[in-house]
Amino acid sequence: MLSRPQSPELDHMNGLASNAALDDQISPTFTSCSSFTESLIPRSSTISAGDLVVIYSSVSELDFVYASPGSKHSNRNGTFHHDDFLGQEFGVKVPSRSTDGFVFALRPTPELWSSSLPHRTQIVHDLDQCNVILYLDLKPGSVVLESGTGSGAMSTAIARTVSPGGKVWTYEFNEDRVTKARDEFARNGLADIITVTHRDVCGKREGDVGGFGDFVPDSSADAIFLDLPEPWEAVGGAADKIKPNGKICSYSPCIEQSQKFCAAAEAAGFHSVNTMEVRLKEYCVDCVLVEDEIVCDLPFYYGNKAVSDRKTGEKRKAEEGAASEASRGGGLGGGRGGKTELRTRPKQTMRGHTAFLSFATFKVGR
Amino acid sequence: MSSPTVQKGHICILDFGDRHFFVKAAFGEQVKLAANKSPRVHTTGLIGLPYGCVVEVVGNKLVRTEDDLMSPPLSALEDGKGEKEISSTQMTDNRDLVDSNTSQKIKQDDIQKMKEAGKSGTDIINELISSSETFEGKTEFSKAKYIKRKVKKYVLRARLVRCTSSTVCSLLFFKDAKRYMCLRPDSLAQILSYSNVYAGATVMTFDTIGIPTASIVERMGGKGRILAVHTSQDPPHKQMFERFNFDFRHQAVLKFVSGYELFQGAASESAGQGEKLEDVLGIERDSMVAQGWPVPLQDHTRSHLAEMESDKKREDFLFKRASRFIRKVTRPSLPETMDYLSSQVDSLVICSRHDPLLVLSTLFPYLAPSCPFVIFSEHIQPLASCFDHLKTAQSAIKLQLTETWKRDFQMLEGRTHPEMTMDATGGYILTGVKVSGKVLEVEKRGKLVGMGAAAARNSGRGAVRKKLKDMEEEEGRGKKLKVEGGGGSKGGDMSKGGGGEVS
Repeated sequence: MLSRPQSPELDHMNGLASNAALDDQISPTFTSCSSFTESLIPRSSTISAGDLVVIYSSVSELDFVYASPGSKHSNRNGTFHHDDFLGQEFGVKVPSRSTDGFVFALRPTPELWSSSLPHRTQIVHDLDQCNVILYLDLKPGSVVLESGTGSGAMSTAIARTVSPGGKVWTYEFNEDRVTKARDEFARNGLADIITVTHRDVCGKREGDVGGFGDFVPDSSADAIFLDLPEPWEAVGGAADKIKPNGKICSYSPCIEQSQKFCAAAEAAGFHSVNTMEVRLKEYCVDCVLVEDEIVCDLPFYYGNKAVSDRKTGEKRKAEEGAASEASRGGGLGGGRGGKTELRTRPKQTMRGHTAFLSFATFKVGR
Repeated sequence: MSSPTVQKGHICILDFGDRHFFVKAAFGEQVKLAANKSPRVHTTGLIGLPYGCVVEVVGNKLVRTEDDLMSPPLSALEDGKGEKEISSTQMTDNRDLVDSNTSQKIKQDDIQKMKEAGKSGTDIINELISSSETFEGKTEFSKAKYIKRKVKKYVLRARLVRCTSSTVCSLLFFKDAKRYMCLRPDSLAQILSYSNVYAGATVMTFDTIGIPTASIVERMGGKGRILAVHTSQDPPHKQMFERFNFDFRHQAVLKFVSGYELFQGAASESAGQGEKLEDVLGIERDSMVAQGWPVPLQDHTRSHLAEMESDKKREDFLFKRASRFIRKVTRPSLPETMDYLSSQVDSLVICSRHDPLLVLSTLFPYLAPSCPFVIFSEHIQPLASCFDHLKTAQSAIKLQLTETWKRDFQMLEGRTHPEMTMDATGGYILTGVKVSGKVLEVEKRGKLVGMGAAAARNSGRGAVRKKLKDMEEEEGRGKKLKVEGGGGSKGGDMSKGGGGEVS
């Protein structure tokens, strides 16, 4: 294989970012690489101090650490020293120094982050997240308003898609969550893309103006995402900020909430209102031994003696031999003249409901 | 691509509610939007219109109308007969209905005559309503339903929709799901998110339908690189990329890589002549830098343009020039291809009718450790093989084999219910994260080794066992051996999961 040349000319060939003739087509933020791609998703393949590292113990147990020399991380698998994986490649298997357990040190992605982040609220799950992002037509450069921020999982996923050049304005009415989310975004290098504002966009308390604030110009948002208990209260404010032909989405667990939202959206000038629900059905893959003949036990009327008579000698020996062979080979292959086959079956339990997703598009005026 | 109005040459979607069409907004383009005798319609009228507006077919032209898709005949109705309706709402139901098919006095020929006389669809509907004997006796809901049906038939009115990954995928799935491997938009959404595509990433795709690759181009925003592996002689999916109206900058991230280099082993052969190729590559690169292409207009090109007779010719010339450049930029030469393949990619997306396991085993080495991959298929069995392969080789974690279930709702006050039909499948997806398989050597502190072992034996045992169980259960692989006679319900890979590996 050829070594990879590091010349700037090659970038010129690929991204054309340095071509002066094209510069005017490119937004100013385009040329400077966003902090998002540098920090939350480190471009370097090795773990260095300060990096966010997702610690994977099992599918249901994920934590995260900011790698720093001399630090330790403990979970039920044991204690893990940062020094062990600092300088190593992401994806490496890290054994504990104290127990026989191990973890994987992974490069963070918004999906891994949302399963390892500290939950302050119920979060928007991966499947809903990705559908919202697709149906809101988000892409690099999009401006998105989001309320509420909650634990910041959705904001992080949106930030990945709209960066570089895009912007996420996110609103949260709980001051404590605002502070925590702001710190987290800053730590993950998302401060340039995500701005957290302490505000109730529904304006429920007296003296509260509601809406999305004057700092966001009117008709400037490509998309708006509402995850609120009373989304219909925020539709008026959303209509002020959304671009013509912009998209809005409301995420509500209850059908009544969605119904009220849809009615309010239609009244506020949104069209093509539709509501959907997505569920994930997970499958298991079983490696099943399929017999090539059906062997029946002797029925009772032959009596016990007959059983022992018939099941003696070579046949029994052969059976025992096959069984022990099967257990030696980890059970795969071998066996009593059968073969193994891969079969799928749905997992026994699945999440039956998260929320209804209602989408609508804003009208275009003359 | 993101312009708020339709540009010349843009392909957009006309959404008639129950029918959808891709149309190209250009001079001289014509489309047939309705069956049989309807005229072909010129698409020139679309140029300059904002996306999201409503257009109506008037004669053989498309004209923007102020109204909503359905509202005008409805509102016309309300003007004249609003009061009567409300008063009669209480008494109307189907008790007096006789289904004799004679209630409509206007005959098909009369309608044809009205059409020929140039009457608008709204007028025809109003005529139909006034000459229907049973219309007044209908409930309010069925009146609306009646009008809606007639509007669909007589008013060719469509919303102008921008082509994006969601709209293109929805339309193609609606039209011919089987042709596009049953890739429903919610599956596409998962492909795009779980593969962690972002502007600046390097993504490898093996895609025989084109929608995923084009959607990834959209998500890259002109930054990063897509190595689109294909098996054909020429780069595929030309038509699919056209639908997304990508500009030069966006499309330049695409690098078509011939599968020949990967699957027929040519890659390793040419790697043997590394030095030779290094020279060639150097010269080629130098030449490209020297030529600086794609080049801004040179003086001689400008004067050549000036000599042309019409703007039409000039536009054609510049369009062809841009296509030539995009062709050049997206088709790397062999040395460039080898260069791209020499570093590992950030994510791998496989969406193909070829055997996913074959594709996966060839492309997997090009994926960097700790990076995600997504394999999509309309069938579950090949994905089960991939699942088993990855699980057995212990080369991936967070493996998930899933299918999604998507249901749309009718949302109306007091009449909310799921839609009567839904799609039974949107395809299957296998996702996971590659791991390097490298196990670190850590110094075990002497005393603690004993303690650790003891801990594992005593208090820690529960935890370790729990973890093993988790790993097995939750990654969906309960390796069950069904040997009859209770012979060997072996715990499968229990021994693989845990401790043993620490040296």
